[in-house]
This record gives sequence, structure tokens and C-alpha cells, in this order.
Amino acid sequence: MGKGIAAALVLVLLLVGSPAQADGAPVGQDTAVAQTLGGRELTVTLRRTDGAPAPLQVDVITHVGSPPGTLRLAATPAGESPTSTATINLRTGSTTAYLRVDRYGPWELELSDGTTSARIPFAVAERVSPAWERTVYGGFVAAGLFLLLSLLLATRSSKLALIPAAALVAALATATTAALLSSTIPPKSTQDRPRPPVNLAVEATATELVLTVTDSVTGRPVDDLQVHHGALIHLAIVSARGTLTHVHPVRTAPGDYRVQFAPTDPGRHTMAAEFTRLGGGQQQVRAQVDIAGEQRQPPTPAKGTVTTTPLRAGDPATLTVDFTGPDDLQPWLGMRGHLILTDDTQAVWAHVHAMATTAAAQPDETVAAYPAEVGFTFTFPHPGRYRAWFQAERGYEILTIAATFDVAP
Amino acid sequence: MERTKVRTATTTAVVLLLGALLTLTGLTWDVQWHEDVGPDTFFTLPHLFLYAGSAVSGIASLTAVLMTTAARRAGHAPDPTVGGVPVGVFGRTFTAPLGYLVAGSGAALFLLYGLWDQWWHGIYGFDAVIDSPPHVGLLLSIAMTLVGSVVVFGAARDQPWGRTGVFVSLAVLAGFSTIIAVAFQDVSDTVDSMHVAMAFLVLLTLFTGAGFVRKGGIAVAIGLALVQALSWWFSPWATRLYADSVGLPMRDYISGVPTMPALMPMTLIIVALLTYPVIGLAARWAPLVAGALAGALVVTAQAFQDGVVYDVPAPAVGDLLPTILAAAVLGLLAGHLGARFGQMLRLAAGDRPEGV
Repeated sequence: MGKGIAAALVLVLLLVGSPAQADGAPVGQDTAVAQTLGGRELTVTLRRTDGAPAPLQVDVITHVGSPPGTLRLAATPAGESPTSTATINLRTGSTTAYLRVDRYGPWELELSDGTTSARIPFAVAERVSPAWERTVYGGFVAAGLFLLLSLLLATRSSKLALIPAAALVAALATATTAALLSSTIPPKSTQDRPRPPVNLAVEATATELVLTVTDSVTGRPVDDLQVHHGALIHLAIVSARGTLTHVHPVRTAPGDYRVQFAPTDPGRHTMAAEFTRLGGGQQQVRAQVDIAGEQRQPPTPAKGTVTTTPLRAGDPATLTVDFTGPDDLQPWLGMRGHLILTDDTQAVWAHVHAMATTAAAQPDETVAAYPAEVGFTFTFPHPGRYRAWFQAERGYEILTIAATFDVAP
Repeated sequence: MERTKVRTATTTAVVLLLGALLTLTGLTWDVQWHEDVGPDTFFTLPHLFLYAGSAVSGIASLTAVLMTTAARRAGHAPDPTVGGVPVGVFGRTFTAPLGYLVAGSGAALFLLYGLWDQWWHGIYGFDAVIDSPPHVGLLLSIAMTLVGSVVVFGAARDQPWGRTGVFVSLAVLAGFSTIIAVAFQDVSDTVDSMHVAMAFLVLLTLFTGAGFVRKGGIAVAIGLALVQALSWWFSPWATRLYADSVGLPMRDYISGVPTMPALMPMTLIIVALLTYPVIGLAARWAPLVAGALAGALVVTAQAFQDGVVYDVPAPAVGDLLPTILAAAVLGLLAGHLGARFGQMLRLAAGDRPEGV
């Protein structure tokens, strides 16, 4: 019987010594994707599906300035025809649509407002039990069976009872070993190898910008862009007179992204596209395009003030924007605030974030509880004049405040 | 009993009880973990406590059964004070100490229900509820092991450790049975079915204790108070510590109330003291009256306990009446059954159990 006590003690010591990792439980997560579809700025949130077949909840947030109307949604298994469709009436704020997914694997969510359509790739993940998990369950179940069998044989006064009793010990040893060692097994990597940079060609038509994204090695269309900071592509466009447009081109086909764009002043527009390829880090690709058009009234800037710590090249500076009013800012693209900075020559082009939370999960855009004052930290690399645009969201409206900074040497 | 025999009997019984304590610790911790943190995989520390508890109980039971078998084969007469009377199964051809047989079967069933539970989670996902069918199976298996533990100690009632063990086991069983009551929460809207079920199960153990030794009910109530106090402190503390150590955040809407200890009645000692004189009466109806009275008292007090603990208004007496009535009826049954179970427990070491 001393053996039993020793085994129990060892078991307890081992358990205390190596806490099991509570990881990998729910498969998949909510995905929020900003989409500039036609004249609308939308945030499309695909809620996590638990298994398949399963309902797929899609929340569409319409921002202020986007016209009301209907939006057709369709869930399509990659390369096939739609299996489920829904139509919703858009109004400022959040609207929910329910679709269904019927299998695991790659899917596309198609959004269409009648004239423009976008295809958002997403995946329905299947939970796969790793071998050690099956070993642990199997071990404990086998232990249960052997225990029953051994009890039964022992009540018949049979010496054979020792065989299942030994098997019980072996099964328990296997199960506990697998359970305790599992925390040292690294999770199976889903990370692919980093992909090469892309080439970006931008073409301006009368109403839209067409972005052609190709692989810089093979020249083939790039179709592995990941949802990063809440969008497939973040496109910041600055006009010659210094008006910022921050939009999120929609994917219409592999490597083909489009966004409706009506310039407020004609002429040269510089832009930076930010995105992440599968397995790779964030890329920023710059482009410029000449756009003809008429002079139009630029959007009215939001109310607010900007304060900074002393600005010197090479020293980290804190740039604080106060959007005034109550503390009810909403996280746009998962962030409390965005700051886009360029210098005179546009040699520097930065996109700085004020984080909403340190947790990995992206906060929900409908939560209007963030402070009106948003701080950013940025180190100006060299002296000179910089243009800056601060952005945040309140009441489903994207607020933008422009500022100019002179940075001392 | 010879000295070595006593030592062996004590060791297997203590290891069996240790397994039960591991299980109860794991369970209160696990419930708190799901409440305050959330993610459920098999490989959380509380789950390993649950499984280890059953494995330890199972090994202790099997060891005791094998030793009895070995003794029989060597030609010794089985000692009924080790784990209870040998029972005849299938026409008296098999013999085994009753308590260990029950406890071991419970442990084996627990391990088997684990497979069903994994299958269930594979279909319905990992956002577990406590009252899913495989969970109820797992909980009843644990209850079976705890009942076995009560019988094992009951068989050694002529020893001080045996009597102590009975009340420790009964207190653990009472504390544990509160979670089984959660499975009844959706049975009725007019009656607080969870509280009624909790009262029935807790009072069943209380009156079993009282049927075993007259002051036993009070001992069970004191034991439950200790279990409640310890787990009230332990389960939130361990949950926070474990969440910190694996880097998971606590939920932001936690009430701060330990879930499972809050289900245990705080007033049981008072109820045990109030019903003590009634149990002492020689009349046949005494356990019934004591049970009905205790049932009504426990559910009434529990409504106010919830009010204080969760800071919610206590229900009006009128709304509480159906619950009190149902609890009184089931309490009557608990009193009746408990008194019988207590008597049966006294016969656990008997050479000739009732009816043979």
C-alpha cells in the first residue's frame, strides 16, 4: 500500500510542479474587416463559428457619412457557388446578418451593394485533437476499463485480477505522463514561411482607384493578404494640398483591390498601402498617382486640440490629441486612435497607433467607452516640418484632426 | 484485529479519502475556473486534480479488494472491518469488501464517463455547462466513490479513525452533492428546484450521520462548515493564482463570490442543533418530522444567504412558500432515508447484514 501513497505523492508533486497550459480551446476567433465599399465605410465582423455546419453571424457597422441602403451578403466555399445568402438594410451603427457555413476550410464572404462587390476570404477552422490529447483520454478510459475488469476478477478470487491491475497502472502512467509532458510540447506551427514583398500598381479611373498587387518574385497576383489591424489593406492617401483619406480597398478578385475615391483637389496624390502577407510581417508600399478632377470642399475637421512634449529629432515625443467631449470614443480598427505622419519630402511616412488594450483580442467597435484624450508616442527621425492626421471614432463617425509640427534638430 | 492488519486497513482507507479530497478540491477549483476565467481544455490543473482524485481512489480500492482476495486464497476468513462486509454478487460466488467495491466502481465509471465527455465537447464545443449529461454522469460517479468511502470508514466504526472518517467522508459528500443540485436548476420556475435538490442531498447526508450516531448530524454539519470555509478561501485564490501563472486574464464581470461554496448552506449547524432533540424521540415519525422541519429551514435560510452573498433582494415570503413546501416534503424523505442509511451503515461491519 506504501506504493499507492508514493504514487499519489509523486502525482501531486508533478501536478504542482508543471501547470498545464490552458491553450488552444476555442478554435478561431472573431474577425473584423474594414471595407470601403462604394461610398460607404463599413466594418464587417465575422463572428467565430463553432464547428460546421453552423450559423455564421456577421455584424456590419455603418459609419456616419455612409448612405443608407441594402447590402447583400453571401457565404461561398472557395471556388464554388454561394450556399447561403442574406440581405440587410444598412443604417448608421451595427446591423446583424445570419448566414450558414456547411463545411470546414476556406470560404469567402461576398458583400454587394448592387454596383460594387467585395470578397472577404475567411476560414472555418476544424478542431483537431493532437496525439497526446487522445493518449491522455485513451489512457484514462483504459484505466477505467481495467479497474472494472480487475475488480470483477478480484471478487471471484482469481489470480488473473493482477493482469488488469498491472494494465491499470500502465494506463494511468501513460495518461499522466502524456498529460504532464503535453505542456512542454510546442503547439503545431501554423506559421507559413515569409513571402516576398509585393509590387503595387495603382491606376485611377474616373471614380475609383484600382490596386493591382503582384508578387515581386513570380509576378502572379497576391491572394494571401491577412486581416491586419482590422483590414486587408489600409490605404492612406494624401493630396497635394494636404488632405488625408484613410480607406480600406475591397478585394474583388485575387490581387485586385478597388476603392471608390473622389479627390477634393486634383493633382498628384501620394499614398501608402499597409498590409501583411501570410507568414510575413507588415509591409508598407508607396505609390503616387495623378488624378484629374474638380476642386471640392474638403471634409470638415473634427473639434479638438493637439499638445506635444518638446519635439526634437531622435527623442521620443508624446503627441496628445484631445477630441473634447465625453469619454465615449470607440475603437476603430481595434485601436483607440490612429496617427498618420509624413514629412515635407514624404521620405518619412508613419502610421502610429494608440492601443485600446493589451489583450490579443480586438476590442469590439460598439464599445463607446474610451477616453476622449488619446496619446501617441513617436520618435521623429530627423528635423523638419511634418504633417500629421489624428483619427478616432465617436458615434460611428470617423473624426480627423490635422496638425503641423516643426521638429528641432 | 492484529496491529499490521489495522495499519493496512487504515492506509487504504486514508488513501481512498485522500482521493476524495483531491476530487473535491479539483471540483470547487474547476467550477470557479469556468466562472472566473473560462477556457476549458482537458489539460487544466483543476481537471487533473479531478482525474487524479478518481485514479487515487480507484487504486486504493483495487488494492484493498486484491488484498482481501489474496487473504481468502491463503485461507484466511475475510475481515469485515476492512471495507465492510464481503458481498455476494451473482449468487454468492464473488466476495469483496462492499465499501471498496462501490468506491472502485465509482472511480472506474468516472474514468469511462471522461470519454463520453470528450465526445460531447467535440460536438458542442468547449463552452461547457455543468449540467450536461456526461457531466452529470461524472458527478454521480464521484458521488458513488464518496459513498464507498463512507461505507469503508463505517465498517471500522469500532476504531476512532473509523468514526472520524465516516463524518469527514459524509461532510465531503454533503459539500460535493451541492453541485449535483445545479443539474436541477431548470426543473421548475415556481419552486427553486436547485435549492430544494441541494437541501434534499445535504440533509440526506446529515440524517445518515444522525442515524449512524445520534450526534452524527451535528458532526456532519460542522464538517460541511469546515469544507465550506476552506473552499471559500481556496477556490478563488487558486483560480487567480493559476490564471496568473498561465497568463490568462480574469473575466471583468466576476462577482467575487466563490460559486460552489456559496451553494452550501451556512445554517446547517443551526438546523442540526434544532432538529437534534426531535431525532432523539423514540417515535417512528421523529426522523420524518425532523427532516421536514430541516428541509423548510434550509431552503428558507438559503434564499436569505443568496440575498446576502450576491447582494440581491431576498424573495418575498409568499414567493418562497412553494419552495418551502417542496423542500419540506423532500426533507421528510431525506429524514426517513437518512435514518435508514445510518442504520445500514452501522451494519456495514456486521457479519450478517440485514436480510441475509
